[in-house]
Amino acid sequence: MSQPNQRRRRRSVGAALIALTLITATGCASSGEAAPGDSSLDVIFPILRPTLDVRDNAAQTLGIQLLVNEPLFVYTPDGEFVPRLAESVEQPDPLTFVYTLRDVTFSDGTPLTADDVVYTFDLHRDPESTSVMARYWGAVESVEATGEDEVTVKLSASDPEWPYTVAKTGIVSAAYYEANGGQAGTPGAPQIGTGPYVVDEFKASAEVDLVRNPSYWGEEAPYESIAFTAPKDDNSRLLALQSGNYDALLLPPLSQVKALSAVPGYVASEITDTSTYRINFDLTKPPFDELAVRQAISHAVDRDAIIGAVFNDHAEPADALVPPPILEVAGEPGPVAEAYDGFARDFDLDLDQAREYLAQSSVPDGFSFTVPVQQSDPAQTLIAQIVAQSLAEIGVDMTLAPLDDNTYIQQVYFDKDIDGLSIDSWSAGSPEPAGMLFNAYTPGIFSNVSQLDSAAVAAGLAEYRELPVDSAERQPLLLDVLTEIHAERPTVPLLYPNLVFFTAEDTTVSGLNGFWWLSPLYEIIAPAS
Amino acid sequence: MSFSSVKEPAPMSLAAAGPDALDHRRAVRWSEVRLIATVIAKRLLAGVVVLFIVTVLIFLFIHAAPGGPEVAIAGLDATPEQLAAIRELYRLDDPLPVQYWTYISSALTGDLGTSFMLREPVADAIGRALSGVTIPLIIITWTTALVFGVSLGYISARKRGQLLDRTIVGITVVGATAPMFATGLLISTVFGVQLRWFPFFGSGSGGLDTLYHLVLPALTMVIVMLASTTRISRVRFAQVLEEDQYAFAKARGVSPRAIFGRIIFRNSAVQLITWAGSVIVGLMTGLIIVEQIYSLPGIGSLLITAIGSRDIPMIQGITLVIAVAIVLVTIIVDVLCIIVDPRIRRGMEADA
Repeated sequence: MSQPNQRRRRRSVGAALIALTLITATGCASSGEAAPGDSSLDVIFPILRPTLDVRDNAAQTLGIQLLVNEPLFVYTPDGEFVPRLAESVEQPDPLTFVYTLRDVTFSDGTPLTADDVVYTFDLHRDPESTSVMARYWGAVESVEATGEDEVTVKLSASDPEWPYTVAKTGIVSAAYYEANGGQAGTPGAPQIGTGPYVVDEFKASAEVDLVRNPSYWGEEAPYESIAFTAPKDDNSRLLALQSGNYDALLLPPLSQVKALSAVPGYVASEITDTSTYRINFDLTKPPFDELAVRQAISHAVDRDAIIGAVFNDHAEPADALVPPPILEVAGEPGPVAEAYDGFARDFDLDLDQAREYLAQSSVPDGFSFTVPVQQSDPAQTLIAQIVAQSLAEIGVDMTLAPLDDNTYIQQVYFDKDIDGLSIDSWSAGSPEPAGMLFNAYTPGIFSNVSQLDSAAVAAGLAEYRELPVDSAERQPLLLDVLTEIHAERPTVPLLYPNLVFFTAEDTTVSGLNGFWWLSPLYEIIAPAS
Repeated sequence: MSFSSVKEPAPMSLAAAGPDALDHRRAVRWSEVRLIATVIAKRLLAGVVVLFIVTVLIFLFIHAAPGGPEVAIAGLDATPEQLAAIRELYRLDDPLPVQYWTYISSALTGDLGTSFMLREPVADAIGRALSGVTIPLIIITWTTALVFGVSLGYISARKRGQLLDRTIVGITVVGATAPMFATGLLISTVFGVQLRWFPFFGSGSGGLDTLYHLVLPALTMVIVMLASTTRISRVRFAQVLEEDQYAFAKARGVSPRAIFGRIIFRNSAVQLITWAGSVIVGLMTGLIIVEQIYSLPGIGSLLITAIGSRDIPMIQGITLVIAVAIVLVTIIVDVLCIIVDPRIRRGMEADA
């Protein structure tokens, strides 16, 4: 862990040194003395967003946002929803949520009001909202301030993801947003909130420096400051860790884990992530509209080779789109394992079986097509190359077409303008067990890449939405839905990549899971003492 | 050049020169000022045409690229309605000529628009990137590369064919032929990680701290620029050193300082100034790489991010600023060449 202001002191020493350095071409770094409980956490982050506006941050970068802008409820690593800015929530009926707010102030001293909560929610649910989380607000019918410290939310239909949406939504100051004319969260008007940290300095997409909120209403956070930086390439990331200036490196590319593991002074924490690399078939495009073709490809892909060669074994074979830990939230692991073992048999590498299926199709001698790959994800390209080699074994000729992110997203998700097969990585947007299925297989939405339109799947998911959160029927129902999906083979699940944190030896890591970003980072990476 | 041009000037006051000589000098100076003003006006006019063409081309390229900014803004979870609303919000469905007119008419009033991704005025973001990283980096790199390059070129020219000459040329060429990212990696490893003399990550907290953070990026670019600067200056210095005027001046016992200033440097000035301008233009492309290597939030990083997310106002703003900078550098180079070399002035007067 970096010592008190060590980074800043190093900067000032460095600044003083520059004059000498430029003249004498000599210099040296310096370190400061530690004061107990007065430390910083310097983190190398995979990516930083262009703003700290709550509309622009989702998933990993919410881990930063929520340190400044607290949600009404926090989702803990134990799977509990703990009140934060809300003191309590009541449900007079299944579709109505009444939140009573805590009496706290923003870091500029102004009090948190119900209007701030309404304003924040409206930022996401406005029909013209640019929010990356807008989709999650589709079921919200109204949000009203029903008292000075009371907000009432009415849903138009049951939405199992709603509690998670609340936990992902940091509350902003309406007055601050209005005063800054749409520029709140930019370097010129850094974000303010009620959280344990305030923004000290923000450089778009490059650095976020947070310092303790001196007037924070809750328990004081253990670090005086938390700083995030995002290297722009693998070499910079490795050198940064080697420099010893950082306390943690989060979510490195798995191909780099071996090199990073050799850096002394750091401990790797590794778990299975809540994302899935997969092959998607567009069920409307020939010849992928034929089940036999999809089955042939399912048996031709060498998943172990991909895991070994691309991920250096830092991944697990995937048997369905949803990683098992997500389904286990809604029940016991046993039934999930049993169902997944059944799915796995249909993805075994078996070239003879693959050729047999292809022989039953309209393209028994094989066919050719082009697959788009995202240049920003080297793993995707490597996977595609291995898949191409595998498919060549059964006479299918796959050509790679590298695309930049925007073009890829436009062609694959929005326009569906591809030959019929794509390879991507899909992440769970929340711990809700059905979240990935809602995303991937709801007819008509962009993220339904396979364009699956199954009445059985739709009915199963609709039934699921109506079940209470604690219902024992949830997991069996989702396994039934997965079985229906599997029968159609819209997807070849390839692997669940691991999630890796490298942390300094004088810190401890606890409660790490795929949704670590919903919990305060200082609770996951804590000072050892 | 005539031999008389290297004569040491005879001491003579303006008063002693008489009123006619004074008037003549004033007339000459005035004609030079007019000539320079004419050149600047012509170049500015040509620059405006160039800028217009650049803005049109960039505008067309951006709109020809697949995937609009709404993809990057709303992300994978976007709904069709949301994408349509964003396109409407930013008037992306307006006819292209209307969009271009909106952009160019705002730009002419100094308003470069608001970045889609950064949610702030493009001018603010560009100003921050320029003042915080790019301009200091260019100034440090440019002056260092020129001072060291010209010095090494001069030493090389004086010692041409000798071991020192070969050593200088050899080392600078090795530095230039290595890919910039490899040079940056080596420098970061040695001076950043091993010796820990300088930071190799980010741009610091402003002022001297930022300069401290820019030492290694500047060093990386200087190493790349040094070979060409050294080679250009060496060749020109060597040519001058072989000219008769140099030999005569030396034989006449003209002081080494005067020989350097009045013969060697002055006769090499046009080439060096032209090259110095080219170095600045070259630095702008090198910046993109070096800012990536050292994770610097400068204009190059801003441009890459903007292109990736189709941030149209930001791409247009940055390319316009770069184009303006290049046009200005070209004008300054032309004017300086006219000032330092009377032959160019006479040639232009004759043309006129």
